[in-house]
Amino acid sequence: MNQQSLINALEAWGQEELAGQRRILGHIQRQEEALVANRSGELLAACQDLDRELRTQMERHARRSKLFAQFAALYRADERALSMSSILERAGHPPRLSQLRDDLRRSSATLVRRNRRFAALAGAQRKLIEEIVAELLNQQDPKALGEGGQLVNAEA
Amino acid sequence: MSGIGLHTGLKALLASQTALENIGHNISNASTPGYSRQNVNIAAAPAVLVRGLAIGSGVNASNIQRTADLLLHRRLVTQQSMLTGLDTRLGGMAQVEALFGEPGDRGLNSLMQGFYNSLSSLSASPDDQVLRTGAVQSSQTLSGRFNELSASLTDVRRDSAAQVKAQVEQVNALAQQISGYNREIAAFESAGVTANDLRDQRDEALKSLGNLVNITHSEGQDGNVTVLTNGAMLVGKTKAYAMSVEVDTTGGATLRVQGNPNPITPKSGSIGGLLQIGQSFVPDLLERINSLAHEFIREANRAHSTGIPATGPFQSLKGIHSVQDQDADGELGDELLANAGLPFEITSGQLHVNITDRATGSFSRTSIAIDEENTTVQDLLDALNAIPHVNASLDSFGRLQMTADEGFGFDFSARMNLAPDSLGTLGGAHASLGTLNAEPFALTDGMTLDLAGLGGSVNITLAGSQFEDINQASADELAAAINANPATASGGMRAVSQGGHVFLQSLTEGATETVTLTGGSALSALGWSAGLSSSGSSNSIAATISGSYVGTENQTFTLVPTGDGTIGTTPGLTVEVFDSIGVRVGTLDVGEGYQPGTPLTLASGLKISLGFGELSASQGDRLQIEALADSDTSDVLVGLGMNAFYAGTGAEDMAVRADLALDPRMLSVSQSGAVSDNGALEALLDIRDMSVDAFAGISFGEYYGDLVGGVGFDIEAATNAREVEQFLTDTLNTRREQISGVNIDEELVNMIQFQQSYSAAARYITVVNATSEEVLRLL
Repeated sequence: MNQQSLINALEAWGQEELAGQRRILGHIQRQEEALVANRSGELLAACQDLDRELRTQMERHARRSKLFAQFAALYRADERALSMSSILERAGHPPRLSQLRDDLRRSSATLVRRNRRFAALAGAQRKLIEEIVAELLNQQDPKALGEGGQLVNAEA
Repeated sequence: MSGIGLHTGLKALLASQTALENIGHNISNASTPGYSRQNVNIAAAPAVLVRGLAIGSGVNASNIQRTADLLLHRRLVTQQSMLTGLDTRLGGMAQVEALFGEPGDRGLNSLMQGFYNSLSSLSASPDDQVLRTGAVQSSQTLSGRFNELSASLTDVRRDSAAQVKAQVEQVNALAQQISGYNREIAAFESAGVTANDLRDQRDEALKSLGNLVNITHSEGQDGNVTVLTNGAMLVGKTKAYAMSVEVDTTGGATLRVQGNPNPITPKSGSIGGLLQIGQSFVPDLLERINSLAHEFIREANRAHSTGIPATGPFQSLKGIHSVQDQDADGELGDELLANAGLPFEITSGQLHVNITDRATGSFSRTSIAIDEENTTVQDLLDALNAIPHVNASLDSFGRLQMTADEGFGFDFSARMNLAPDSLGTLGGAHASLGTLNAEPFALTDGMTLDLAGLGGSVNITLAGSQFEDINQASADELAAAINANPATASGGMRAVSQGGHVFLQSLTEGATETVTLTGGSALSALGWSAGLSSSGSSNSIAATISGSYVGTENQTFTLVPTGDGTIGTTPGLTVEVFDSIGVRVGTLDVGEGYQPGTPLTLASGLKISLGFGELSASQGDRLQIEALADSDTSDVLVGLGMNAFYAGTGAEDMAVRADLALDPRMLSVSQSGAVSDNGALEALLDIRDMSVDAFAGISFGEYYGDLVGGVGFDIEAATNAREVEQFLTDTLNTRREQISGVNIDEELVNMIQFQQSYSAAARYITVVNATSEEVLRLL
């Protein structure tokens, strides 16, 4: 493949990645809303959708690795040293791809941020429930909750 | 969902993770008629005691409601405490960020550029008085900004401490209030009535307290709330314990709680935020600004101390840093220079002192070795006083003061001696015989040297007492021993040493002068042989240096002729050039065809021209040329503050040296002493791009950029953290409303379902994070 073909393939990958990231962001947003609204069913549903989306992301990941390997061969560079910016540099900064790189950068940063926020929220909620349960069980260490115990008939 | 009994929720609460999953499955069928009875089968085990709780006895629903509500409230207090702490931190950080004024005209970055620019302008016209004044002014502006930054940051620290002090009073007032509510609630509820209003008021007080300082609180069976902060009891069952704060003059604050011996360090609440600003964020910045100023002063002074002002070599000079009596014995002289309480480090190295004869303009250089483990202040004074025409002492404050005799001046520059053969050891007009061997000489006590000059003969007997170790005699010692015999001078001779060789010379120049080695047992140890003789000359070879030394290390070049002959005439006559470690770095072709006086490349940017005259390898002609990259490798001048550019040691007290600020002519921009020379100024300008060891090799600009960038990064990180904390607080508020508004049984069932959902969600959080960051890295 010549450089132009690879650039086209890279642009296609970038568009798909951008769309995929937007869908992931949507799922995380749904998870967050479900948590806040206290709707566990929706949370699980959003998790399942996210799971499907992440599988397609894995496919994109493999495609991108192959593409970068082809760029590395073309430029006779170490694949690990290549980035989209360095490819842009060598390709003379094609405008559409440059714009796509910027959009991806913004999208990835937002995704990382929102994901961390959701992680903090989920962590806090989980800790709260563990505390409540532990308090009811008169346990000192909330983490001990998941360690054992057995299902009993409390009505007995 | 209402069909699920309370006990179903409890069962789930007590279950293991696997059991939880089963329960979750069952819960999804909650609306199926008969569900609870049918599915309870899986939990048909008898009641057991689990972790001290008798399961099966049932739990009262209102207790669960209160427990959940209390825990939510407790979390909310913690969450709001964190939020308030972050808000306070962000406020402080924004204030500090504004102090730096970056990017802007008043920012240090711009003022540093201004400093370099003014030096650069002066570099083009070093003798321009207006530009000199401009350079001094920009230096003052820069140091003034350092002072201002230091003072402002210290003020922020003090203000934070003052606010902590005021808020500690609020903490104590609230703790008293909560203790009071405890008593009232206990009294009220002992009658069997719930004290709702009082409980609400106590909740509010707890929230206010949490906004000030991170607390944990719990309610006892009797309705009393106990409050802890950082492990110290603030409100107990019966009383409140006072919090106190000690503030020192620099704004350092130490918090304690009555009855607790250890200081506490709140992490959140506004006090936590203030402490992080005042005790960590600002002190760290202050330290870095101070470090920046300290290193900047060191480098500026390093460059300036070895320069020569427009007024020429110094008649007198006083250091600005005082030697301290570290061992408190009332003596300053016995202090090790490297441990004399000086603000800048002194290491092992060489200090070169030049003495200029103002009448002739000629100068001589003396090298003083500084050994950081042995050289005392008195050793330095002695070495300086041993230099002809120099007087050195300490003033009453312990500062080094040096003066030169009338008609002489001194400086510490790395200037080249442009006429290096003042002794005439390379084809000079004196009759001259150089030892073919170099020191150390293997002499023994009683060895003799028999010499003859125009004034007569002399028989010298060498005594062991004249040498530190006669078996390893130095050239200096041997020359001194020869000169110590009065007959040497009366015979019209002298001995001089250079580069480890001794030269026996006639006292005066001229073609009629002669010196001869007539015999003696010491001759062979010196590489001499009896009968060797030298005649003087009517003209001396003029060795003249030009160019600038560009080497990075101090070097001594040795010029040794390869044969005997006349410069410009004898075919094949060459002079070899060796560096300090004896490696030949060049050969000067000065034989037939060489036009005497034509500059030839010596080494490292230096050229040398040799005038007409006779060279003699057999008579031991040779010449040493010292080329200095740094005339004070020990930094003793910086340590003592001799000819400093900046006074002070850090951002707080940095200032242009007072006499320099008053008289810009004192700006030492010259390396040679010529007013138009900018050699020392170039060294000052080099500060801009130099790699600073103390900053792990980055430049001053980069270090400052990192510092300011770090403040921005901290603010961004705190802003992001605040966003998350705000979100969590809002969510908790929502949850609290939910839990208060619904059937607690349903809520607990929901919790179980969420436990499962969290586990599912947690798996994806890591994956999303890793893949997104990988994409970011690839962009």
